[in-house]
Amino acid sequence: MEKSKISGKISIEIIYIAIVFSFLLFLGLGNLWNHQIKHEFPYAYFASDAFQHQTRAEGIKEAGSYKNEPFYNVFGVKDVVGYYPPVLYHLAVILSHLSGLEVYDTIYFLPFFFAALSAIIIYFVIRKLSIGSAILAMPLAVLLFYKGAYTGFTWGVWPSLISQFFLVAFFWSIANIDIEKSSFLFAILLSAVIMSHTSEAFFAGFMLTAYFTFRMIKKTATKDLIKKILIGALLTLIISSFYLVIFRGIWMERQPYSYSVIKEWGSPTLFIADFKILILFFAVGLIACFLLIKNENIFPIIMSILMLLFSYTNYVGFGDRAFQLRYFWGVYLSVLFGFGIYHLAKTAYRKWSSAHSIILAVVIFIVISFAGIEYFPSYEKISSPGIMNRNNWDTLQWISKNTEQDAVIYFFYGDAYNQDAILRNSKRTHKLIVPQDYADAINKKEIRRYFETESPGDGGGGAAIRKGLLSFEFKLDEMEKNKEFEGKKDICSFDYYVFDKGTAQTAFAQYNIIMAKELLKKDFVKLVYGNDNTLSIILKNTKPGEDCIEEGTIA
Amino acid sequence: MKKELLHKIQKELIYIGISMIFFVAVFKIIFYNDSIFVAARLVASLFWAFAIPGYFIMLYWNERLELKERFVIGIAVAAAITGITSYYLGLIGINIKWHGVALPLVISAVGIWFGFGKK
Repeated sequence: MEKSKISGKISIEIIYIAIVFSFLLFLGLGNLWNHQIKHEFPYAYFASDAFQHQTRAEGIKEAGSYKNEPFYNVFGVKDVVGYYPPVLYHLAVILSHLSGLEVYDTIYFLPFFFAALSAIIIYFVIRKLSIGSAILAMPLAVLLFYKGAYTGFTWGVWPSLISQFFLVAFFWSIANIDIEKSSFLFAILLSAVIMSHTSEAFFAGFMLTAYFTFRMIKKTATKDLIKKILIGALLTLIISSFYLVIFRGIWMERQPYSYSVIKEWGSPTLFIADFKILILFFAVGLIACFLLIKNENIFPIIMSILMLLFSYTNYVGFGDRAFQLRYFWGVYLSVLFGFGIYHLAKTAYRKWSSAHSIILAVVIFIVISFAGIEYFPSYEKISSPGIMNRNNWDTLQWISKNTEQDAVIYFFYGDAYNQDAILRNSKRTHKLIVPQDYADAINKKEIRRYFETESPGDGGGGAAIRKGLLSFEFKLDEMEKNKEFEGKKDICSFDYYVFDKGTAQTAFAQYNIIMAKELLKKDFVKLVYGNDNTLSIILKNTKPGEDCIEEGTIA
Repeated sequence: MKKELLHKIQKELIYIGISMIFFVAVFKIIFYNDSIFVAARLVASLFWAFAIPGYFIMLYWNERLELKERFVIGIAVAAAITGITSYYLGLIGINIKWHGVALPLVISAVGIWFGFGKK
């Protein structure tokens, strides 16, 4: 093994680590956020899931706790138990209070911050095996912001990303399990995995089992090790028990595990072929690991190989949970990459040192980040405000601050509304017109009172109300039974109407204006927000249930 | 022994202070369209919420692990403790707006207690 030539000069190593961390933040978040921390609205949000998490965190900030889901996230049902793993939301709200930033900024900042930190943690895991490999592993973390992996961030798979950050830290705790009182670190980090995105805990369990088996084979599984694992597991159970009851009673009831082999996922993802020529280095790393089979500190390589295998468990029934692991391949596979490239370098030049490793790492950073060479995977810059815009944000904010808490808001067609969790920013129960039915009315030139209507909301937890310590009632079932989510709805039954005057297809915008004008013919329907200069208007129906529009055809 | 640890803490806190200034500069570079005050407040918040309590909670292992490793892992451990404890505190009725102030203090105090209490 290489002897550290930089251990005495800690400043070089620390500077390298600090620069890598800063560089990852620059590439991943700096570019995406237009080099601003503070934004006027949720910036660079590209999918509904991102708004789902943002609005849930906003709800927690307002309520002061996550005892219940914000009602506007769950079809307007009140007292639904907070069922999503809570850690990300709490960290985002705390950071918002401390930094003065809006929750929509802090909840987006954290996954990038922690992902960059994951690359540093894995550095310390590999470092125990070889400093040179650890240094050379780090450039692969740039590929956290590459193709499908980047969409994990921009589409809002944040709880899984945060959970994987804690998973990496948990791996560090396994690698350091022989230090005194390591059970505490083990337990707190594993609990954070469970309470950030529970499914990653299964992979943590597999990893721990693999590590223990390895120690058994090596005949180093001492009584002390067994004791530490047992204490760690027991502490984890105690710490996360309250949430695990919710997980068992809600998630496992509503979305029970079922064996299914899926080869493709609805969301963008990565495949090993996406790493192009770098696969060669993974292969070298894999081969070289056999040289170290007798080494006590081989855990980082076991971890890297197993995480690669776990990422393909979609073929044995783990479904999208397997695909989600691929978002972090830039971290997990960095071990094989660093190990492979280090061994090649060391073979080519016997006097290879840590300084050489740093120089080569900088070159790899440049190639992966900026060169755009065909045979190399490379960072892909995304720079866009995303789905939300100033007009939509102002409109939704107006609703949240100026309408009655129990008002029901009806959204006519808007371009952004197909990512319907954006509407939860209204902080009111909301309904959304089905675009196909609206288009049908446009084609037939009809003014209608009844439209096919969606009831957007988070149905994953079934709108569960706690009935006892271990029992829950699912309001969603009752609502589905009453057919509240299906069919045509009478628009006159709602309290407010939102119309966008600017849409990509002008026919929708024109019809929105026509519908608004028709509604305003009734003296009990009033314009309460917007004017000729705004891109949206809001009407208030002061007599919900009364005949609010004359049905007919457009002249 | 305790004097040595105290001396070590003083020295290491200076390094942490320097790293905080470094990251204010880094954040100002990354987010150059924002003022330095926004960057400084965010960095200070991150240090207050995660880095400082993480440092103290990892003090127990100061003989086994170098500062740089304790510092990085400490952030993860402090984030884990903060996120989980905040959830439970909220459930028992303590509003989350106080957690950002109180939890880092409590975690740091517990870390110091364990660090100095180590035999």
